[in-house]
Amino acid sequence: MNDRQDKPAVGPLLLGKSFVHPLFDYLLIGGGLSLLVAALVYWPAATASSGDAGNLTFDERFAWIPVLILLSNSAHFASSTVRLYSKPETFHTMPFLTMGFPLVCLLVTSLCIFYPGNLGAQLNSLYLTWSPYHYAAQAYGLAVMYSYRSGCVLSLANKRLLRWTSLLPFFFMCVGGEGVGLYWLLPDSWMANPRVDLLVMYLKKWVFPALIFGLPTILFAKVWVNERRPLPLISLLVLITNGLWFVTFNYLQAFTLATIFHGVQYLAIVLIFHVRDRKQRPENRHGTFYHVAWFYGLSLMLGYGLFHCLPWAYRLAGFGVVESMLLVAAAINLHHFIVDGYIWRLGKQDSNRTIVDSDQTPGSATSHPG
Amino acid sequence: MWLRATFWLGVTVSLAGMAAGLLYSIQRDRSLPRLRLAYYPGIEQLVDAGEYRQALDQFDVAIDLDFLRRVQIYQEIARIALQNDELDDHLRAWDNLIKLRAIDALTQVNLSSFGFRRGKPGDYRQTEELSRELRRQLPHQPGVNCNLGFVLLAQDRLDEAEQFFIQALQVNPYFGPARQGLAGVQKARALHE
Repeated sequence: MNDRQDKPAVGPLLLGKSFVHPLFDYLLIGGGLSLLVAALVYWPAATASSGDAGNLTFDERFAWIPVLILLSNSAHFASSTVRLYSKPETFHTMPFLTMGFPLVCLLVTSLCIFYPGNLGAQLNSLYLTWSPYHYAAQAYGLAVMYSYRSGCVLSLANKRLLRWTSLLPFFFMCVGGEGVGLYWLLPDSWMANPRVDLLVMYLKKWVFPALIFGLPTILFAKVWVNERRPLPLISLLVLITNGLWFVTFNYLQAFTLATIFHGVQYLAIVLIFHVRDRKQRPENRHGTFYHVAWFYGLSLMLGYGLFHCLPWAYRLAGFGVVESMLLVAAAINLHHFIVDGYIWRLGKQDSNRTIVDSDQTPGSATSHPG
Repeated sequence: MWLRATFWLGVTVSLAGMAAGLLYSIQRDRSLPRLRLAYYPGIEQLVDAGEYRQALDQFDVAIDLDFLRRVQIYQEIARIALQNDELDDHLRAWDNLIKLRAIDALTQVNLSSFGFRRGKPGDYRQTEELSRELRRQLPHQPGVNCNLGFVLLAQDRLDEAEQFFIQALQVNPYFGPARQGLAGVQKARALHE
């Protein structure tokens, strides 16, 4: 009888502990908004092929995308750099990353632009292969973080299952297409083998979609049974939306949509961390709006500078428009992936740990959202 | 110490690069670097400036680097080649699209008519029949109307050709080949006068 009285209500446990408000967290960080927009994009795309819209040029059909890319993608890539330099103590704890790495990136980018056919193509393949891994790692980090905040302590086995589940979209992309993943790393003759082709088709059409949408459900049930409380639904949503981007759309659409919504997700979480970091400081005299405007404004300006102005410097130096734009973008992406691997660590002395620990139910965490 | 030096060098080069890029863009285009998708506008500028071969070289680099958009790139090459009356490049681009299995039956038929037009100059009867049959099946496809327009234009039947280019533009006012065709009609009329 007492047991039944002590049990918390299922509803709040399923909803989990939000950072801002359940609606904000589920729509922006959980990826709920991307489901709505993906449906809007997918529906006209499907009807356009048979109607007059199919005659529109690429620029006309996607005229709205560049602005969204600036506000979300470009700002998000820049925001990891802004976070790296605005987070307390990073110059001391990560000296090479903060001080030596930018110059290394510039040198590698210049070298690749100089040899676009050889080095440049490799850099691009690396970035396109790493991207889905990065998104998968972010989905895992967010899922664990919300689980931890909501008091759902995951066992090692469940954490491993969550890790493998989150990586499925990455494996799906690895077997997917020319120049990416296995098609980049293995000889063409192997991948052109009809048996391999058939296997890849089977994996992409049946096995991976079944695993990507099935395993999160199994994980959810397993955690509920093992841990005696449910994984918050936002953790499940993060995993499913990341899979949905890659399974539903073709490569190009998936990369475009995934980067846009990954950017939205990332900006929301990095702003939360930045604002809480700043507001915890004893010398802080500003409110939330000031810190949000400062951080996002700086990220937006840096994003515009890096993606839209820096390639012009290479054009000024005599390089072509294609290699300048594509390889600068690839290098910024790779820089972001590497920086992210460090700035989201939850070390015991790290300010990230204090933020995740704030207003949460006790538990343990070992992961990072980015 | 050396880390601090590399940091300041990296910051200086990055900021100087961004500033130089910004100024160069303003000086060249009289506008800020535009929020456009990647490199297409840059290549279109080359085409507009008459640098057709240079534009094609840039597309070759894009095929190496931007392999996810390969289909789109070949389609762009085909479009630009057609506008510049470079049928060899146009057909080569479509040949690559066939290899990539990226075209439908309609496009293949359209292509075969272009191929026929190129292969047998002066003999347009069969091409015209094929194009008219296609138009009966797909009257609202600008590409089909345009194709028929080009076949008629090649036979110097300017009024008829003009009619089909106009119909293509009524369906899609931005359809480049139709505009190109209309320009061709006007040019031919001017030559006759």
